[in-house]
Amino acid sequence: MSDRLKVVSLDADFNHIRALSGDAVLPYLQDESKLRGSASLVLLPKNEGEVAAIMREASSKGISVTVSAHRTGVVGGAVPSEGWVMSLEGIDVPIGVGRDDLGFYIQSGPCLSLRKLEDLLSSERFDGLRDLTSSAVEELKGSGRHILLVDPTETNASLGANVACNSSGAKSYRYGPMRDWVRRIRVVLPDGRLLDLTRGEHRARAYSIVIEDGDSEKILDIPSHRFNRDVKNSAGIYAEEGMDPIDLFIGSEGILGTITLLELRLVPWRRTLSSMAFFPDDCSAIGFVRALRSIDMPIDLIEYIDSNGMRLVLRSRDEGSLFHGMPDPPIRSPSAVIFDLPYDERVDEFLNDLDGLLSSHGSSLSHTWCAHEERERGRFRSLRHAVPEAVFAYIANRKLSHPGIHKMGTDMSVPQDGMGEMLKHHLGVLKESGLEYVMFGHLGDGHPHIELLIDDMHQFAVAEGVLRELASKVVELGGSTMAEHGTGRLKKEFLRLMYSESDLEEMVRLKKALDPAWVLNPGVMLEAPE
Amino acid sequence: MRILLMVKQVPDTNTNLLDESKFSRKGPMVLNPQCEYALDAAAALKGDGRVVAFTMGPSKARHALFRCLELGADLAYHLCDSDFAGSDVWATANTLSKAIMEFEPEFDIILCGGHAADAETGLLPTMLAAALGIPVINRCRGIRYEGGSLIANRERNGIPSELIVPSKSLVSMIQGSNVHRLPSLKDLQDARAKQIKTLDRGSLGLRKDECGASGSFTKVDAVFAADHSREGIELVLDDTDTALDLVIDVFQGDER
Ligand SMILES: Cc1cc2nc3c(=O)[nH]c(=O)nc-3n(C[C@H](O)[C@H](O)[C@H](O)COP(=O)(O)OP(=O)(O)OC[C@H]3O[C@@H](n4cnc5c(N)ncnc54)[C@H](O)[C@@H]3O)c2cc1C
Repeated sequence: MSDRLKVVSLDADFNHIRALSGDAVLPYLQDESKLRGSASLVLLPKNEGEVAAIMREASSKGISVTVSAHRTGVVGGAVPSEGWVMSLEGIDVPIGVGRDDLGFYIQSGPCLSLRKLEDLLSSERFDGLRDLTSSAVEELKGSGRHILLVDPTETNASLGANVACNSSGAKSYRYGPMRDWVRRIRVVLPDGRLLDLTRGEHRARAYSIVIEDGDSEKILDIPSHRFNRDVKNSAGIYAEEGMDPIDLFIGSEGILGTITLLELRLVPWRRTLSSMAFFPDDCSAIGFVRALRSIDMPIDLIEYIDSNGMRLVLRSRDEGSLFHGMPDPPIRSPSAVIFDLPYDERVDEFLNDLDGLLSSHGSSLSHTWCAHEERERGRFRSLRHAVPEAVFAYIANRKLSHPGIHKMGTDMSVPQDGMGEMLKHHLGVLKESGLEYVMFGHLGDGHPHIELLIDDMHQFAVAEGVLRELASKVVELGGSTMAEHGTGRLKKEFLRLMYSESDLEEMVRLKKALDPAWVLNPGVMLEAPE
Repeated sequence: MRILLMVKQVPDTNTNLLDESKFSRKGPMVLNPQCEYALDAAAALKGDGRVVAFTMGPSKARHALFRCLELGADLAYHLCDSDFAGSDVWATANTLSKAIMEFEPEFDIILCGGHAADAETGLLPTMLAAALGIPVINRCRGIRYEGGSLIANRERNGIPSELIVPSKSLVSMIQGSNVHRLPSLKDLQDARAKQIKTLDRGSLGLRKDECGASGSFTKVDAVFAADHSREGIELVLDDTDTALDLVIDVFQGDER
């Protein structure tokens, strides 16, 4: 394993890249956070060479470039503050399949969406895909269905951004975030040169990496902060002594380079039993989550929807905007817990254990919907997705009369032993604030999302104080203020709660070494140095 | 009421339905949506009676039967034999009719889906009724028990009608006002205690040339998605009003 990374230069002509200006730029100025920015031009590269040409041009002229994919981000990472937007939407095709000791992997352009990858894998039709290793496509066809184990809820998101933000899904409870499933990436650096990184091929010497370009070389210092790996965490740049440099780029939210190609590991699909248990109140549901975590069952995910969230979902259904045909839950104004188990010969055993566990928390086998057919499981997934979707729709609506509003929610995680204290504290603060909220998400991972339903600028100001209080508590409990969505433009203040001034300075130094003109995703995660 | 339910497992139409020139069996498979309406109707009508589900299909078609057992069926028969492969709609109807006459000849009504989401012929209900020599009412949106009679609702050209269903007839169902049902873990647990009986060609007393491809009158050569795409044209217009008029005309069918 080497500590030397070789960069290469690519040929491409900047002048032939498609560009949008005027009103055509508007859709690129906002992401799902509803934060709005500005830009003079949107550039639409068709390939890696054009990405390199854009970055070369921008860095030589000092023009800011914001990398944009499908703009489902919720922290304003793809929202430009000035300069150009580089939208990767045209680099969106799956390329090939390979196989190594760890199994099959898929290679793709960065803007292939999760949904398109899922459709491709479930159809098992790989026409047009290249063999990256001998006969890999045929072998994959003959090996039964395969899947990507990381399952972020928003399937319109791009794989490239999922890697750039180290996204997680419900199944990260058992299988970790995107990082663990990335085999290889190609990254165009802010100056337009290219790095090709395969996991396991390079290793930093303590805290440094050498970047070679022909005869010249440059030493890159890796920040020395402790990256909290005890909890789900996407705050700041991942750093570790002797790290694999591929991990510097995964989760760095596009501030160190643009991912132009990626390879993700696949695993064989297996039948799964998804269950959605209903509880008479939030306390019982939370108690059940705790109990479920502590028993010996191969659970893939534990997700929670509080009673406010369920009300929002049912209201959306009744207004006809979501889930036509979803039946009424078996309990009135319930909270719900969704969990997945393997659907195999052990299912009778699981049912016996669950019977007692559910009953002792105010639910029962009869009060728990289940699904093992893929279509039904997909309905559960859209149900989970519906909660944030309903919240984002609510905020978008309020923004019409109060343009200053944007999404105000938490993405914070704590270690399991801090869960009780966190919930008690958070619920107390929320009650005192008088704000309406919903709580949902990855409670099994100590990572529930709290979204505040804000109506006006006064509430917006109150919400800012509330989020600050919640964040401080989470840090006190050894958690992360940004578990999976990243820091973006909206949460830089929270980064300061997790890292010291000198930690942040080291991150800035790393960025500056790769991006001396500070042109790539400026304002995302880190503030430009004075 | 003694209800027989005929169901089919089909590829999930939300995913890729076709594999080269065949229906794909590789992707996720589901209980045919219209069979699900028939299942809902059966569960609602059952009362103190019994619902028995039948399907003919490869081994994984069992999953469709299991879903029926979760959502109200009491017993299921799986007609599964490599000799059944390649059955056209007639051979399928014939094979199912043999199973019914042999194993469940006493029934009050047979319920089916109006058509299957893959083959889409919509012929099976009528052919099965013909093979059994019983009346058929197709494409009903609902069925209820009222005043000692079974009443089916149908709609033709927007005109609703109600029909009295004679005893021992076959009714095929399409989407009505059914609320989607989800099984509970209790339903799953109960279903696991119910039986799925496998029937092969021998147990139905069928000769090889009476079923499967050799017992069929038709053979599917190829299946393909119809191409509805049309060449677009780009018009550059100076003002919004002309552009709007043009769009309205196009929607009204005047394509110029
Ligand atoms: C309803 C809803 C549910 C969600 N659920 C989840 C969830 O379960 N888990 C989760 O982690 N997130 C979730 N998200 C957040 C979001 O989907 C992810 O952050 C996702 O990674 C964004 O993908 P995108 O293609 O939309 O990226 P964008 O929003 O376009 O960009 C996000 C960031 O990545 C950078 N970027 C994009 N592409 C590249 C690239 N190729 N190279 C370098 N940088 C790049 C951008 O500059 C930006 O900083 C959810 C969002 C919504 C709206």
